[in-house]
Amino acid sequence: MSGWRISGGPGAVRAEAVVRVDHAAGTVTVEMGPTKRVFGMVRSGDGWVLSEGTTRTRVVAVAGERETEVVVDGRRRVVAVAAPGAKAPPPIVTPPMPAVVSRLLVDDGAEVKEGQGLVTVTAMKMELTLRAPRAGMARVRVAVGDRVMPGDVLVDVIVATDGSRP
Amino acid sequence: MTRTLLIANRGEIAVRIARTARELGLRTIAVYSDADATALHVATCDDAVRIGPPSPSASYLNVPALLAAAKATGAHLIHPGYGFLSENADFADAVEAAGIEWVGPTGASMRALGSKLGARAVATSLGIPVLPSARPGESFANVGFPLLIKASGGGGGRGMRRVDDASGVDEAVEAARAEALAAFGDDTVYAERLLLSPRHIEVQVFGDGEGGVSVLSERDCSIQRRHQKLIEEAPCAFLGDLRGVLHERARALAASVRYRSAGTVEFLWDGQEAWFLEMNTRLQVEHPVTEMVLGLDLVAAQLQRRLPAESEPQGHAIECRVVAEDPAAGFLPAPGRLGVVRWPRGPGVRVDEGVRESGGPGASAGDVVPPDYDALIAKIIVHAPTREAARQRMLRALEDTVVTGVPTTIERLIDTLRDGAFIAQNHSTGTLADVVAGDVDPALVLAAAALATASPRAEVGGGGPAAGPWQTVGRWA
Repeated sequence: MSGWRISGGPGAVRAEAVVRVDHAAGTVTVEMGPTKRVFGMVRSGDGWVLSEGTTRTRVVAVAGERETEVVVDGRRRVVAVAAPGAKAPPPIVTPPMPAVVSRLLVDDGAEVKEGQGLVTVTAMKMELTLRAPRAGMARVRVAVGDRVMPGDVLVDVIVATDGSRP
Repeated sequence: MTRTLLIANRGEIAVRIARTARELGLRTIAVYSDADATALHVATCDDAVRIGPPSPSASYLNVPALLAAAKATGAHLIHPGYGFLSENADFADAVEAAGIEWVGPTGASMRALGSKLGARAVATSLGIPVLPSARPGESFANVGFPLLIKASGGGGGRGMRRVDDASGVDEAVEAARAEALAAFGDDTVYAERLLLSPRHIEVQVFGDGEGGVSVLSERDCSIQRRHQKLIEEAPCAFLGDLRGVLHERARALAASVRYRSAGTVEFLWDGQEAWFLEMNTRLQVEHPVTEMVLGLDLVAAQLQRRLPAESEPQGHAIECRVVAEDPAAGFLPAPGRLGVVRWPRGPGVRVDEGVRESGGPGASAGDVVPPDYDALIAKIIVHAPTREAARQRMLRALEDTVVTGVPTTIERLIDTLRDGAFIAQNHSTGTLADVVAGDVDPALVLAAAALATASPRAEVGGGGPAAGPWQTVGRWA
């Protein structure tokens, strides 16, 4: 059994399945628990036509380095190997898209409350306020005008564990 | 002599304007920022001029650079498209002062109608109902909560903030001001009563500049997120007698300023009254649905300064906006490089696209949706004899559309077209939030993903050394 993570739809789902491609027979077999489904496959332009009984579906799939994108009837899904036991990453103050820092709402070293606005970023003429994921001391890592990417930490919120300032 | 048109815009609208201009025998000039050097609109025009770095203020809002580009290329006309400088009266005046024809209304009528506050005053003087409003510092008592803080110079849904009680006013005013200043160069904001689930109805007008106005049907643009339209359609038969009333209000407003070229008068309908919202003194994103039902080319009429005759709409047209954004993340813009792109085809289907379809082996890499601009990548427009036939045609067209590389609105558009309220035409500006998301068979998804990753060596090469007849796809991380 292999675990897969399918995202891009209304919510990410985890699927346990064994998938086999038989190029000689022109089939793809998907076993999910007790259910085994066999699709016939024919290459078609950018993608394939998958057939099951009398039902045929056009699919397009593009393999990336870590995940594979699939489009079925206008619906795009992103498939990745589900990492077992992976923990959610710690909450960080990072933009959801490439953006430009437009305003700093706190001074470096300020004590902030959970949910307090820390920094605003602008992308595509939209302004977005990034808020503190927890209470603590703000360490500002960027300046107004910086171009920032998802994953960049704009402000560290440091929690003092022993009561003293870190 | 061949006349030259400079298109002061980018993306799908620049491509769309260039197509008509070339049909009219005009020489077309594109302008581009460094983010757009290889963009489709640049490749579509006869010549292209770089106007600056990616930031809009340094490029598509850069008046000196645009005027220099027009001068260098000998442009006779400038079409501003929508957004950017399209509603900037000073730019329109500067263009005409340079002896270049501005494809749009005069600077004077833009000043009278282009700012939301100015347009409200004109409407009030003509007896057209407007929503209660107030300026910052005034009493908000007659406006009430919830209300909207709006940028007077705004458009396209930007520079707007909802406020539910008095404590949120200051932050919303400041945010709206900052956004408005960055996007439109004007930080004037005001508060207006917020209708919770109105229908957005708008009337297309076209003026000859001498008081003659053609009313060119109306559009329903109620399917919106973040106050930005996602689905538009024409006509609005459900309005009954109100249709004619709105046409005459729009005509009066346009005629009062001797309006020239294409414009749109927007109303919010709460089921009883249709309140005047604003006038857009430019071509609208959604102008194609009007073109489809009236069988005319609004851009050609603009370029030729020819007043289109009024006529009754034929059939029904729907437009869907394909935007690079993530509906699951609150419709956040999702710029990036596109992978496979395929647009739909077939009878009654029109695509106004800003990015290329992907090529086969050896083709250039996919087009990029830059983070600096609006993330609209294409509009899909369908025309059919009835609304239901148009809805079915749009569903088919969207299911035939492929965009990979970035999340898009396509799936949410499909779900909305299947929504009961949309089918019954009971929808409102709040409907999109309630649309039930559809899903896709995970076995099909996994089968397709396996095909993309299980190398097709056996298929193309007759079986490479490592390709057995069965491949177990364990992982492709």
